[in-house]
Amino acid sequence: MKKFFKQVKNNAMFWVFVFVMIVFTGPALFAPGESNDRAVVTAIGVDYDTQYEVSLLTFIPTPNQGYLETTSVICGQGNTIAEAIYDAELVLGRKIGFSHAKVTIISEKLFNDDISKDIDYLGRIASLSENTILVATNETAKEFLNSAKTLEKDIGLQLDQLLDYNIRKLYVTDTSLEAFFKGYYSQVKSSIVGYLPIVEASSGDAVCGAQDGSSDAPPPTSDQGGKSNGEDQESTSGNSSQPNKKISNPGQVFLLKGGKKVAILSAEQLQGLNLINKKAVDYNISIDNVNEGIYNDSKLSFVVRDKKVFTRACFKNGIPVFSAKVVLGVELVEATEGDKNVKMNTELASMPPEVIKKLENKSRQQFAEALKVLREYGCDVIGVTERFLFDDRKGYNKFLDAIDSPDEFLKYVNFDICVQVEND
Amino acid sequence: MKEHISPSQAGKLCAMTIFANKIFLLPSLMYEGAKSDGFFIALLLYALDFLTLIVFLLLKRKYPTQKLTEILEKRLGKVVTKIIYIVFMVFFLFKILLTYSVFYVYMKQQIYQDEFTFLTLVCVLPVINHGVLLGLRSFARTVEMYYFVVLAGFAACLLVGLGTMETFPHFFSSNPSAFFSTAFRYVFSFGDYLFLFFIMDKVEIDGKKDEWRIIKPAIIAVVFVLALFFIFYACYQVTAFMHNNAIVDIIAIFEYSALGRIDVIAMVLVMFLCLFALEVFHYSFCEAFCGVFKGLNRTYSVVVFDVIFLALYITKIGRYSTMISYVQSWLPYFCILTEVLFPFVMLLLSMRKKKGRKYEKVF
Amino acid sequence: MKVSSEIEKIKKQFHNSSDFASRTISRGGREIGFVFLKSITDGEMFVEGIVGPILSYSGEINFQTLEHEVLKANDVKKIQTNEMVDNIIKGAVLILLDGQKGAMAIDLQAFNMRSPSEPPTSSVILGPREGFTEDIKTNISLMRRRLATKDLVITQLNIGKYSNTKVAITYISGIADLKIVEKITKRLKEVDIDGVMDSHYLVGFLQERNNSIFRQVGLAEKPDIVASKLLEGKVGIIVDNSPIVITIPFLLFEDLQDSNDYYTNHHYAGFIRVIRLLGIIIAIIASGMYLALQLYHYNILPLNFLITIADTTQGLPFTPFIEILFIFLLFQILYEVSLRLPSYLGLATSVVGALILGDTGVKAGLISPPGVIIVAMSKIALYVAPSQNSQIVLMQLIFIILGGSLGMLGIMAGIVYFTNYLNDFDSYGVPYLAPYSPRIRNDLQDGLFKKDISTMHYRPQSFNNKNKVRVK
Repeated sequence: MKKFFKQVKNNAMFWVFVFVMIVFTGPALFAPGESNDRAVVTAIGVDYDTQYEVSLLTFIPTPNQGYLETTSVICGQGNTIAEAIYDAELVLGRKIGFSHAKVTIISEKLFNDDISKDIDYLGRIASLSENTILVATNETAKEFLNSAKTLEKDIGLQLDQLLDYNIRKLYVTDTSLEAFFKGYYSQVKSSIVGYLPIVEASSGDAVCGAQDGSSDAPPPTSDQGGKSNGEDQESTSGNSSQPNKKISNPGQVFLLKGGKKVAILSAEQLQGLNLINKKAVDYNISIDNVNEGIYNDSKLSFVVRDKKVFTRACFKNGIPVFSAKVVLGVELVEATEGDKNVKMNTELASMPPEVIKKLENKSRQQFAEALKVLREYGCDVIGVTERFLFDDRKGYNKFLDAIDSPDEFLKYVNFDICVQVEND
Repeated sequence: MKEHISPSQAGKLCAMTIFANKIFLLPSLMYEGAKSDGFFIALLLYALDFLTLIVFLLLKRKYPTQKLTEILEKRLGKVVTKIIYIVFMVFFLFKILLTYSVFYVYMKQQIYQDEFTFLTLVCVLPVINHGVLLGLRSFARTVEMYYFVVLAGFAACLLVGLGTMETFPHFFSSNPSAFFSTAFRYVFSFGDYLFLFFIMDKVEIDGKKDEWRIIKPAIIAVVFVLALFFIFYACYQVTAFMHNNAIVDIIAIFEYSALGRIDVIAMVLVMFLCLFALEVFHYSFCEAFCGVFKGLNRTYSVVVFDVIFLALYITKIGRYSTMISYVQSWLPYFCILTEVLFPFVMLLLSMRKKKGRKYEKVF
Repeated sequence: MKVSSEIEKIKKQFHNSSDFASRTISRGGREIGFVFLKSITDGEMFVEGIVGPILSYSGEINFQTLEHEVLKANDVKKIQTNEMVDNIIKGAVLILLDGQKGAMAIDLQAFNMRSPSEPPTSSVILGPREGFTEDIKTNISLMRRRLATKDLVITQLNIGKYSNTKVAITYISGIADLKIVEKITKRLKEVDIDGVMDSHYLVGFLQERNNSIFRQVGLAEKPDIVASKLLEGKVGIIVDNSPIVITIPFLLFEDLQDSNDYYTNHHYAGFIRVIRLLGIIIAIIASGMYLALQLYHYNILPLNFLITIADTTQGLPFTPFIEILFIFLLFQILYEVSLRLPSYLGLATSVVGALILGDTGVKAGLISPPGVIIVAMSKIALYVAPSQNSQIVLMQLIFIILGGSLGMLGIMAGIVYFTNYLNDFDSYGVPYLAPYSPRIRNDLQDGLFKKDISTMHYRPQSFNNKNKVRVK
């Protein structure tokens, strides 16, 4: 015994290793891998009718199957989101892994009230990435997830890829869970959330573009959302989706104030607001009835290739002034006369000053129209308040004391927007 | 000589303790108290810490080869020395508990959700015990070896954070009372250089060049941590209070699907940093223990530490929520003794003139 | 003293061994005896250099005339009676004279030796191809040819009660630290072993920690490598019957260096060393890390990779841990088999066996393709540092156990633990992980990145050596 203790003392670390092997290696040898033991969720849907319904686009590992065949929509109900997730877990018979969830879809109905209390739990799930994109939809989130499966089947596009494109090209503003909370907890309590309605499909389209979407998409109403299918109370597999419903991508966003939907911004309004967002490039601007130079009653389409934005905020005679100088580098990509004559490329290069002026006016006008909506609801999602906080915090705080609410600040701001168009 | 370390290694040990305590929870907690001005609180407390380092270097100039116990016993008497050592035993014990509990919570949340509670402990405790038993030189060399790896990992996290940063933090948004009360509340998370006093006879400093070798890594670490505070507040702004793992969160904001989650860089970095910092504090605890109980060797101190640590941990005194409440309640008052009074006494002692002998150069 | 009775005595000491030979000739009424071992002496030289000259010599034969006038041989010496057996064993021919004590020993040792050839594990693309042989004399001559200086010191010892193996300690006087030389000599002199079959037999006596899985001495198969190490201030130990030369002190980093690095562009050498380091890291932790990811940290994996892993491991009879251990053992068995089988079969077992077994295992649903790939990758990566092979295999197994039992934190803790442990090594007063731990700026010139030889002005400072300047 004495010899044994001496050996232990001399090789303490070896015995620690032996201990680890006995205590941990034994059970680990027979433990299934987490990669097989977890239901990996790639998208979350949240609906509310009389209680919460959480739908999870879940990956179920199956040998020799592709991604499409191995994903199902699993649902769970409960009085809270946590309960609903637990309910879904019971259906799945395994723990749910949220680490790979990239999208959270919330039915429009929930946006009629402060959404933050609903998604607060999601924000607390440590494994759920803060970059998870928030999306609103007109129907139930469950239907949306079922349609998302067809999206991939038809055009090989995953939902998060579509949303990633939207964020980079259409919204040009982060619409993730983190961005929502950032906006929600900021002084202006405003944020935007992407809106992808579901529409009746025509001739097998997988996804409808902005042009179609704006016309096809039903006017978003709170009554339409959250219709929970009674048969799917416990669980719903992907096979029960309605095949004739497709996701539409009209480029619209929900404007939220205090976590509550106050308006829907169209793609054009969003484009207008993004005038002072230097990241917003590669979008089209068209002007009609051009009768200058070589053009005769022409319609000209331009693409904004690059953009320089210089902003400044100050108080002039006690009035907040937000000035921005925007230099747009544009390229004329199409010119039509009536509905037939297309000008040759060589002719496209010449652009009379009047055309440039028209373009500048159009950009300013788009911005002004969109700004009206923001002013109306006191939603600053274009960073005006932020700019004032940086440039003149004292003046800003002083000004806030003089007005009723910080929400009204935007109404008092004079916008001095100078747009300069340069032909590339 | 097995316990002796070079000044550069001492500086790198300082850097590890600076990193480990402040890159997780602290920025978020400070934001709750003082908004983005938490950055300036960190700056202020680092400046105070730096004074401690200066005091250490002054003391080292006067007593280049002597142990702290020898100096204290000669000047303040045996009883006062023992009291000081007991105070520091408690100080280092709580430093370990705080560092470990914050680390544990991160591990539990991120990667060991369903695992046995003591799994993290089983990974950490034997390694730090082994490091301490091997001696200061051994783990100081290890720290030196991984120092650049840690710096590179840290820099990568900061660069990713910098890439996602769209605006600057909103500074000067808190009032002076919130600022100073927050600074006082989290003072326990600082005081990283204090361990140097307990290994002062083992650090070989010969001239100003060697002093600079201690200061340089410490300054680099402070710059890195301040950069982290800055980037963290800039990235998250109003939601900073929701993010409890600053170093991981600033990198997790960026996702590159082909590589998966690149926060694995921060994850590995954090594991290294915590192990190194825990080794340093554990060693300092053992030095303080051996100063109190002079007849006992390091093996005893390691065993005693393990027993106390496990007892506190099992009884939930050493757990996360208790530790955070201690940090915010009585530990700041305790820190007046360790981080203000003690360096002041050391400063007074360093005023006395005494000539020291020179060391031979060691690796 | 009668020659014939003396011969009989010696013969008895050799237990009438069959290769023991003796011959007696009479010259001027005086008997001259020759004693030797047929198996290790050069018969032709015996006739031409010894018997022939004696028979044709007309003068008086005694030890003095034999040494100065008669014998045509290089190594001739007068020995005492008690030294006779030792000299016969070493391949000497003894000449015994009637009425005279002692004998004349002529070294005519001759073995069948292979000529220097390129060693299989240290081949170079552009560089010297000579490798050490099993003959100590040849090996010393190879060293002498590369270091033509009087300062090259070679001290010889005999170790082994029965093998009586020649061991040469070699170093450059004026560069090597004599304290290290003394320590090595002392240790070797203290060796009391029955036989030394190879230099590896002495490794255990020279290492300061024998219980460790980490080797603490350097092993080299080529004279150019040993010569360059001697120039750095190290000490070489050449053992007879072994083509492996031991060098001391040893730094772990040496195994990351290759002789090719010195015969190519130094930028390229730096790049290759980084690759080697990556290879070693992959070899040690890749399998354990994969297991840790699969068991504990699936959330770190990219979705597509996770799907691949989950789909391919679904329905396997083994759990991930057992699967990886199974594949690890399978590869190790194949490795051992391929080493021992004849070369034509060895090739079949290594490549085809791995492929067929791996593929069939996957098809049979026993193992998963990612598991096979990961373990195969770590097994292949191991050969970036072939001299570390045995240690890396053990480390692989340890890290598989750590990764499987404790996850990624277990692996990190293991890394810190082993680094602490290696940093505690102080083999011959030299930090094992230098020049990185502790960081020795000068030695970084030949560290992971390499400077050109013309700019390496100083010898390594990781260990004590005299005459620091290398290039002026």
